[in-house]
Amino acid sequence: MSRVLLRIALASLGRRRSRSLLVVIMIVMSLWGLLAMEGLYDGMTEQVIDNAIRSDSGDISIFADGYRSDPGLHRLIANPAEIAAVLDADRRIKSHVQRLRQDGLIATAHYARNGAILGVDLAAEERHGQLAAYLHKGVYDFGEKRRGALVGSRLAAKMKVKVGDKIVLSAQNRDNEVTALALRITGILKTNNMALDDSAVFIDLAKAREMLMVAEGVSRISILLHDRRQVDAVRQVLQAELPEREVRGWDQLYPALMQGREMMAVFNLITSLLVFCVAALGIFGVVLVSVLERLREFGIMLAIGTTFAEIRAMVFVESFVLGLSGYLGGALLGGLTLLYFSRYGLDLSMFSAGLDAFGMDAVTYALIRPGYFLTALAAVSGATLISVLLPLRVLRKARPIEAINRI
Amino acid sequence: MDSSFLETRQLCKIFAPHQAAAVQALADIDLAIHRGEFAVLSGPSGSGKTTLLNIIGGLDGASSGTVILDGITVTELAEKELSRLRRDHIGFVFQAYNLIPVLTARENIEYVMRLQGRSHEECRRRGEEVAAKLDIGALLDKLPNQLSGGQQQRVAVARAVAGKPKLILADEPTANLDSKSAANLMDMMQQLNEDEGITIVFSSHDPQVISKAKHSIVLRDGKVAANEHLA
Amino acid sequence: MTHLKRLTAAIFCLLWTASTAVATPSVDDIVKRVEANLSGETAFMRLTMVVRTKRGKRTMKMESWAKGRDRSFIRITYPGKDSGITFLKIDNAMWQYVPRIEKTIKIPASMMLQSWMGSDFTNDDLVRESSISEDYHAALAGENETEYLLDLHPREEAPVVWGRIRMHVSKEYLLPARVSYYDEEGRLVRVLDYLEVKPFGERHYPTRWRMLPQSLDREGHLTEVIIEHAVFDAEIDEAYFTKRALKRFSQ
Repeated sequence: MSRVLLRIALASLGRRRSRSLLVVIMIVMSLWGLLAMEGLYDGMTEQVIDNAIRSDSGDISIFADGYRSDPGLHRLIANPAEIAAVLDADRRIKSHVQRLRQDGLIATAHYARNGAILGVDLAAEERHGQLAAYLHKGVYDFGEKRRGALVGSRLAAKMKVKVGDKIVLSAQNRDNEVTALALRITGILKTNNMALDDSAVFIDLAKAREMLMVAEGVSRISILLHDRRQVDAVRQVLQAELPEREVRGWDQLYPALMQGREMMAVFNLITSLLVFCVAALGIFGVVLVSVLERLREFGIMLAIGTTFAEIRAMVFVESFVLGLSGYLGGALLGGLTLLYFSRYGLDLSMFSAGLDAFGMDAVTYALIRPGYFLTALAAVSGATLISVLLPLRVLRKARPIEAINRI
Repeated sequence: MDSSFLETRQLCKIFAPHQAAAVQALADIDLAIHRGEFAVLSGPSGSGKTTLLNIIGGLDGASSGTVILDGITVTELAEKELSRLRRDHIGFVFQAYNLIPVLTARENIEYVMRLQGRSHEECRRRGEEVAAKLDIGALLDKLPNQLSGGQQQRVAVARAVAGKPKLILADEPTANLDSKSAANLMDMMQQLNEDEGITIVFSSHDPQVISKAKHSIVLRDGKVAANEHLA
Repeated sequence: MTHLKRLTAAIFCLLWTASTAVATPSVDDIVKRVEANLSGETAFMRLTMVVRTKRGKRTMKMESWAKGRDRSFIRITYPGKDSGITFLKIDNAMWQYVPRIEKTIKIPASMMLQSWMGSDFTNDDLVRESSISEDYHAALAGENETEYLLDLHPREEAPVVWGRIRMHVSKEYLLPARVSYYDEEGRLVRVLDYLEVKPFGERHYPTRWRMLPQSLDREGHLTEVIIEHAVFDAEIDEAYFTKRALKRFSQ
């Protein structure tokens, strides 16, 4: 019996092909748009976070106690090697790097600007966060004599310097004396982490130690985990093991980014709701008209012994088929689009001026999360269910003989 | 006479009972129809023929009075039971638009049987059997919109009969047919009545059709005006 | 001229040329002596600084005490609102005291290269002005009757922003007359003229310094320092070169 009812349901959809198709297309398109947007927006958000984490803070940062409120060479981590050993022992930690940092002045013959002098080990940074990937111009190297510097792209722009230019860094050393160092710009980095791009000058760690007279000790240790989701757990463990240090997760260091991510989640939810409404209204329209058109037919079926429950099931099937086709089509197109953009990225470089202001890369790679498809399924399923409620009520109210007697 | 197969007692139906435009469609209808009869309800339009058939078939409720079909008090049944009654024991043929448009003739005929849960083979076999009796064996795979009016009605009758109901109610089954098809249909219904022993009650205002019946009931203004058994 | 007069003149000439020949110093000598002439063991000066920008003109008066090239103390005396502000420079470090808020600030590196009191001189000019001989390699680019022209190129790894400095040195006084600062691309960035050399005891000293920036965005700017009074090589109390001096000698 159910096979017959199924046949009737499907055949009815087929009879009103153009209308059914229209609704299905509506659902497909809105679902496609939803999935693509979710993936791209999430991708953008995560990229901004990832840039900040890879280029600077890591998933977790370790500072000397009180460093964040009172940074300077008097608050350095004195025994980085010991801490490195602790970090190496934790299997959840993928890599870590150390940096020595001091505020200073960067000057050329024409301009002088405040900036952050960062003493780094380029090879370690590359293994850790692939810092070389951010190289915009020049080379990822400090030169033979280690007198090179890698400058943040926005800082370079403001100072109107290019690769090969000489810059003089002045800063206070450990003894609070002003020292200066002349370097040549070997490369320009564009991390899209605005704090870095605006003010960072990366120099050789050994040279930084020499200039600042800091033989040992580092300002910050940045840590990357294998699984970013374990940040909280690892952070707590480390803080317990290193009570005299400050151990902070990226979310604590960049609360704005965290908020950005949460906002995106809300935004995606709203978009899902929109899709829900589109699907619900579409299906509602088609099913309502279809039911009203067939009152007579239903009347006959009821007269000859079909129960109302069986008719209701049939209407559900029709609605369900519309919703499912829409979902499958939309999920397929959406999934393919996301696959494409996750691999090749969406090139928005024509908007790069605006994107730069927000620290976003010109090429965005989409994320694909199973959650997208599940939320979409929930939206379409919900729409399917709700949209048949009213037509069914109409059907209930219409009594068979009245239906039959409508000519 | 044995107790009747189909009885109505003091059956009344008032439409829109609480309103000023209340209409008494049926008033104190007392009828008795025996098993295997071929009965006709006749009378002018508006005399209550359709209303009476609907109430007998459980498609509509009575305002007062009872209907008893083969011992079952139809008027006291709940909706679900009525549904089952119609499925298992009553076959309907309407004036027009009997068939489910998306199903083939065969599928239409088998419809009630499938509702009843009969096996695939049985549905098939009985469907073809009934189709043969109504001379529509060649049309089984056609859709209703590919059939003539007469053919459609024959399919409707086949469907009504296929489920082996006790009673068939036919409301003006020939009203939309030409005289030849009408006569044809009535002959076949008569044949079925004799072969299968199904009680058939139909309504009509076509005298030629009426003449085929064995039991004639005339309604006028909602009341029984005549009730005759013909030889 | 009589023969004897001619001979005397010739001998005198010879001696003079000889003496100047002997006295023609090496370039490094020139530089060292210029630096020495610009500072001296000790120096006390009363000076006026005029800063002209597109927005108008500012005048400041101050007194400065300096011992060698490493230590100096400056007190602002005019205008009233800045009066009493003192600066202390020892080696490469600089402090400032502001009486209005009664606070002594250490001037951090980040402020060093920013302009000193709004002028076209930077803090660094005042702090490290005397490192020419250390940071630059000097070459004689030319000379005429009155001046040497020195070409100064930064030594390898010297922490100076200039690509090149050209210095016109007066032969008579071995003081700079004009210093031109070029960036690495050879563009002229600023010109410092030392004018109106006057005698002070045994020394001579330019009493008007004029700094003219050359870049387009600083067009119309000018900073001038006029030395009204100077005493060289006199005793200066060591007390001036302590941090306590900042507040103590503020008024």
